[in-house]
Amino acid sequence: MSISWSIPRNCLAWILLAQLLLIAPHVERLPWWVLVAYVACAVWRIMVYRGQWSEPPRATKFLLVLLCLIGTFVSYGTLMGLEPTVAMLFTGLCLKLLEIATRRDVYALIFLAYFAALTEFLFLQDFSIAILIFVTVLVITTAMTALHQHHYQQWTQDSLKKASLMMLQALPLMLVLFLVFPRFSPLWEVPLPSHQAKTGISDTMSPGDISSLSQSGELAFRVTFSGEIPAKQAMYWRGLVMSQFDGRTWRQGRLPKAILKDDEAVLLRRQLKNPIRYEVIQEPSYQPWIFTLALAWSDDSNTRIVNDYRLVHAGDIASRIKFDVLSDPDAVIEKDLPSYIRTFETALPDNINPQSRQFAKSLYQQSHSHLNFIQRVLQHFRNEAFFYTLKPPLLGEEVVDDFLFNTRRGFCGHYASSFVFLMRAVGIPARVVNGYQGGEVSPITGTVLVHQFDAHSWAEVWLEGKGWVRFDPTAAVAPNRIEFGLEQAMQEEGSFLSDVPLSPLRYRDVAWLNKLRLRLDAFDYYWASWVLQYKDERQSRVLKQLLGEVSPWRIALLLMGVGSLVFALVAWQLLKNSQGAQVSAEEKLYLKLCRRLARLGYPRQTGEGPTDYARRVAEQQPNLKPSINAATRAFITLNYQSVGAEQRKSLLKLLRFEIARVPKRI
Amino acid sequence: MIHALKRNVQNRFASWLDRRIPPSRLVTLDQRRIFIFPSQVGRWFLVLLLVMLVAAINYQKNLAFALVFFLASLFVVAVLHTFANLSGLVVKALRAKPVFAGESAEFEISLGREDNRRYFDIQIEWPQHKAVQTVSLLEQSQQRISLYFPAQGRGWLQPPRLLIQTFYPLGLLRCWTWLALDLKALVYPKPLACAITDSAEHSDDESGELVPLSGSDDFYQFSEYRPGDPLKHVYWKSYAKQQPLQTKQFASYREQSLWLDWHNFSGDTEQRLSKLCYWVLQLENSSCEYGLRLPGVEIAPAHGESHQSKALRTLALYKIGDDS
Repeated sequence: MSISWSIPRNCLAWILLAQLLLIAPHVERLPWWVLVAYVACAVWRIMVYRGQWSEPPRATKFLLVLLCLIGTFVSYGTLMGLEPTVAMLFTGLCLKLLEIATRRDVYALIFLAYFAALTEFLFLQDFSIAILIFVTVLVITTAMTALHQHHYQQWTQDSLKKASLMMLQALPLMLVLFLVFPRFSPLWEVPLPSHQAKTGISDTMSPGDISSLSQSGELAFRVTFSGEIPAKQAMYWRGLVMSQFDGRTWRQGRLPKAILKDDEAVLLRRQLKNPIRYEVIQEPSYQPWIFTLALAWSDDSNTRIVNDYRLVHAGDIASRIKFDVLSDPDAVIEKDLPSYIRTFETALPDNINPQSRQFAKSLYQQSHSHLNFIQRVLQHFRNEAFFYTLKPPLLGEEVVDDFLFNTRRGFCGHYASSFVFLMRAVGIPARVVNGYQGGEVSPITGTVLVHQFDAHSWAEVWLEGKGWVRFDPTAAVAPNRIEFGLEQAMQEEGSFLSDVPLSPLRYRDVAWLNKLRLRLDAFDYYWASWVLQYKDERQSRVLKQLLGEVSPWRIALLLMGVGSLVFALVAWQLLKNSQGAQVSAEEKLYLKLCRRLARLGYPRQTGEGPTDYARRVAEQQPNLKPSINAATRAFITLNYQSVGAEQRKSLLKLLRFEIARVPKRI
Repeated sequence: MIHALKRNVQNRFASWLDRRIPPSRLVTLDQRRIFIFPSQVGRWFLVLLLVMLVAAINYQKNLAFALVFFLASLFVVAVLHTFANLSGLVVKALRAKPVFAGESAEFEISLGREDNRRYFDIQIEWPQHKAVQTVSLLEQSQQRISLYFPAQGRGWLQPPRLLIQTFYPLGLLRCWTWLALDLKALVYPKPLACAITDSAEHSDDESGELVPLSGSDDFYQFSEYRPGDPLKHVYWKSYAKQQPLQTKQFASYREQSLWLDWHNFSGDTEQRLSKLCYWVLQLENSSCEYGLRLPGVEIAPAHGESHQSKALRTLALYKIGDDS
């Protein structure tokens, strides 16, 4: 490599394009100045290439690196963690543009780019992202090819064609590797994406919380039942249990991760007499909550069973995860209530909502049992002028009083909250449960799609002998909500997804649009379950089907088989033309003469010219002299002089004739 | 010890190579002659893949796995593509020009192809010398290139094996061959300026002989016109008489015809040869005829290009033997 080496023009162009493609999906995650750095470095490099600017001096480069480090620290407050690391990787990728002095620098840049391509998958694994990243990888590979096609001064697609061909040929082997490579558990703890907005239900509930969620058409999770899909009214997806009330906000109250011990979990499993089986694919929520039907049990290694009988994930769910669950809706939850829990589940702040307390007490005195009291309360909701609305009026200081006796317009959270308050006011253990209710059954995949607007809030009351029993005061006010979903319930008000006018979920009555939406969702589902969640059990099932038996031996055989098949095909395609050397006719003939003479005992010595060779053989075999001399002369004329087509033809004929006259043996 | 072992291995490799790729004038590169192995960049690429695999495992991202496997497969496919960029290449040894010791001998070879496949970025070099030639065969199906190898001593110069290698298309693999060209350059002794002793200058024949020589002004004879004869010497009169075109030749007495005698030069063999070489060149530039007398060899005095090459060749191969 000489000092004046300069990066091939096309290679530079491909690299700049690759960087742009790499930054694009990260753009909302990266600080703005990374983009500025990219543009600045790209412009500088282009100007250097065009000979208008000089290479940046060492001090400038050093300063820029320092600036970017400081920038990262200022933007994130730390240099640790995933996002700062990614930001630094990308600034490195941009700054490397300023230093392309040798081929080695280009390789370093390309390697950085390959690694940067991977980082996108740490955040998102959507199908569209996958396509984008693989296109980016193609562009990077093209840049690498263009580095070696440096003689092109003009723009050419050759590098792109070559890279595409190679990537296509690499595809089968990649698929096999993907199928068979064992998915090890993480080798060590890694920083997870942190700067992500939490989505879905939060761990506190104030009036109005859930109604904001109801404006989101995003998917919360999917459920695939192995048996029949339960009725819509029965699908109450428990996620959070709120037991502590401060007069306005409900909180979990007890340690959220009071995890059941192994033996307790085994006991719990025994309680499930006739469980239904299903698989939950949870979308990333950046929270640990998992939503299941009561009473749920799972042996997934990443899920935990909390002592209020729901499941949580071991960490925040930063990417789509899948786990199997068993549920038995008929099982009794916590048959015996220890007294400290009873105290906890009946606690209320003193002196708030006196009107409601008074109302509860009088109603309780008329009732002959707890159940009867509950029914009377629900009756009250049903008979009085309560309205179910997504646009409830603001509530005053005494939230429950104001709601029950004044506004009477509210969302599920209002009803659940007031209901539990009335229960606790007379000493009945009760709590608010947050989660989702219902879901949409996809006719294509047969899975239940639960969206954010299905978020719901209801109550659980502890009854002697029956444990925690679910009551949904919303159902008393707006039975449509439970039976048909939010859209039906909001038909009059017209407030279903009113903040997101373009959400396809709003146009479910337009048949083709709905079909398209469900198709896309189905694709997304298969993508999630077959590609993103291809591991463990699914992997071993597929391998078993493919190989009959999963053993390293057979896997190696499969790899070798596909590998050599691809290898053979590609080799054939690449080398098929090379059969039959394109040695000129006269060279072929002359070599034939040499072979013949060699067989007679006069091999041509290395470095011996045709004339010398002919003379030597002729001296020793005078009877061959005329033929050898004639043939040699003809060959020399043909090989070293330009002759016309006619002459060439006759000379070749002569050559052939003279060679034929040389005997095969003496 | 290690040094000896290393030399032993190198020798074995060299003799193995000689058996596998014997010296030849025309070589078509095929799998018998081509070696392939990950290049340094390729080995770093494997390290990169390993790092990426660890990231995929730690983050449990299937698409990250897919990307790693994709790049690994790309690496495997690149083996074939790199190989194909050398395979089928036809290397022809064309000629080597004689050269004086201390200069660089020029070897001319040609790179061709068997079919219409395109070859990119093929590097040709003697690793001992840093000058790398890069050749691509795109539209043209053949390309001649000149390679230079420093000639140290007189005699035949057989350059070491030529390294022909390529990293195309990705630079991750190095595909190469060691080619022994059946091509030798004749290296003349390095001319060494010196004075010539008196006794050497004059031949025995004091009177000299008459030699046709342009630039002299004594008419000598007519001869048939040959293209290139100076027009002012053309005998137009005879041409006017419908006779063939004739040229007047002039002659002068050559002052001396020199014998360059080995014994008239001092120094060891090489020095004497160098000095003789110098004088051969000097005398060729003058109008003198000169002869060469070495122990056992004698070249009669003459003048001209072929005489000079004969003399130089004799000097170059003195006591080495002409095994060509």
